[in-house]
Amino acid sequence: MNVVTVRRNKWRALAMSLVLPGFGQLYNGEVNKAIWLFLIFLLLTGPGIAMIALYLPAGLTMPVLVFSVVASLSVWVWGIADAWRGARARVDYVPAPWQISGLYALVILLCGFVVVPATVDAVRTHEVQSFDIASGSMEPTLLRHDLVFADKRYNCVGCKAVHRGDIAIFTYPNDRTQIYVKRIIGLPGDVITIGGRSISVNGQPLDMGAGTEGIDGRSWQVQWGDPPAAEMRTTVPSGAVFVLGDNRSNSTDSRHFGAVPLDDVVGNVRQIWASFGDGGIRWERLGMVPR
Amino acid sequence: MDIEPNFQRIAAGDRSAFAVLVGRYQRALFGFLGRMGLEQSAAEDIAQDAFLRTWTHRADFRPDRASFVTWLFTIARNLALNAAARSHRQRETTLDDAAREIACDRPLALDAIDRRQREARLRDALRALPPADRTLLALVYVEDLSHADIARIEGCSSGAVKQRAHRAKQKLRRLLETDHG
Amino acid sequence: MDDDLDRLLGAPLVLPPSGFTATVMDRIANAPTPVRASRMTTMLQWVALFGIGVPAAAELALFVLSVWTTSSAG
Repeated sequence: MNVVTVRRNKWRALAMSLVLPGFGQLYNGEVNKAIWLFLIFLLLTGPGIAMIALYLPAGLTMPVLVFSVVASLSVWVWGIADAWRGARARVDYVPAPWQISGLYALVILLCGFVVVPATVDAVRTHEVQSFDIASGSMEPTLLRHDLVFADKRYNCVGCKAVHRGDIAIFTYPNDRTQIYVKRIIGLPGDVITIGGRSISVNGQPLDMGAGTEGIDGRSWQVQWGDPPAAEMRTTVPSGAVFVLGDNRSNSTDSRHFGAVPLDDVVGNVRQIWASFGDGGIRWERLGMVPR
Repeated sequence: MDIEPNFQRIAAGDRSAFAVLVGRYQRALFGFLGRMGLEQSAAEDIAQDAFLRTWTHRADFRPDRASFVTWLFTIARNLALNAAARSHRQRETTLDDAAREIACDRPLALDAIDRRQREARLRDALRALPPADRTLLALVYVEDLSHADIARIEGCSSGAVKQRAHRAKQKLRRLLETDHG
Repeated sequence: MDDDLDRLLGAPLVLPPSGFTATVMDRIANAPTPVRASRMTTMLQWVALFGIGVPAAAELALFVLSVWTTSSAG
């Protein structure tokens, strides 16, 4: 028998699997295993698990996404170990005709630099994105340096609609490089009246006493300092929403920059997954679902 | 028979040292090929090829017993699997005939039938095993190989070797216990 | 439990023919030496793997953590 055999290099298989899950298996000639490893890794890390996280109650977002990280890292590491063992066992390997440098280059470029970044982008744009709360304008609901997950399946076709009382993520109208987080108070066409510390929507006051406000069966805490807000009465234009920070005396919101176009409202805060105060991590806030 | 060859000298290209290796491991290798379900002539061809490839790639491996021996059996395993895949269709017809003959026999306990019949039956049962189970079972009875060596040959973990060997034995037992396995 | 099976499988089904060593050594005497990839090619392959591999692995790590990477929201 004059078949040309070569020995697979276990270090190369290991390095290739480190670079892309399944790549080492491709080198070992296990095409099906390679494809499935890559697909499982892709779905576990990104769209699949994020979608599950969004269909479960908000409080389960963080545990499911932690599981996603652990699971995808496990798949990655298992793939590396498997490629190593597979290459070690292939001491008289007969390379397949397609096992050429050009194909490996094509696979790594397509998967590593097209598919993976596109998936990252899709998840962050259409499913889940994390935000670091940079100001105290939403106190007491969100503190400065709470890290939150925002549901990006919000305010679009097939997504959750905008409601009064939602904590929304939107583009700041006066500087579109900045992202703001505020509470939605008024929907298009609503008449907002602000006088002293009382706010009403279409004539219905929000104040429920003891710093609590509520509407449409939802309630949340607010805080007022001195001086109380200036009086105003406005009708929310069509295609826009009226937003306020829960920290009413210390918030730049629709009282200053006007209503926010609905087009710019991109997400809805779901869960706090980390929180950093002056004294380190605020453990009690982890996993909290802000109302 | 039990003198270990000098692996340093083999790696350096010493043929007489390699002849010692061929002498030392041929019995174990044939035992393995027999458990792979191969006939005498096929086993001889594969054993020759395995030793030949071990020799031609001698510079690719560490010059010690473990790497040479695992490597010899890896090559033999792969060649045996290829041969089995190639002759699969041819053999299927003969196997069917054989199975029919055995089916017509009176069912007998394994110990009661004579040696040749027993061997033929064992060979048929081994051939009926899925290739992965067959290679594992064939390797487990090679005294020169540890579980770690087998794990290396099969490309799996040592724990998986034990588990798979146990399952393969159960399957083989079932095949031997049915009348026309 | 497995004793009978062990005995059965432990006994060889085929044996090396006499003169097997000589047959193998004969074939070895006429065997060609295999062609090996040059050191240069091997080095180039490793350089290419690292050149592409490091940014690709970084991309992958970012991917795993993409959901946890924050943007600032005031």
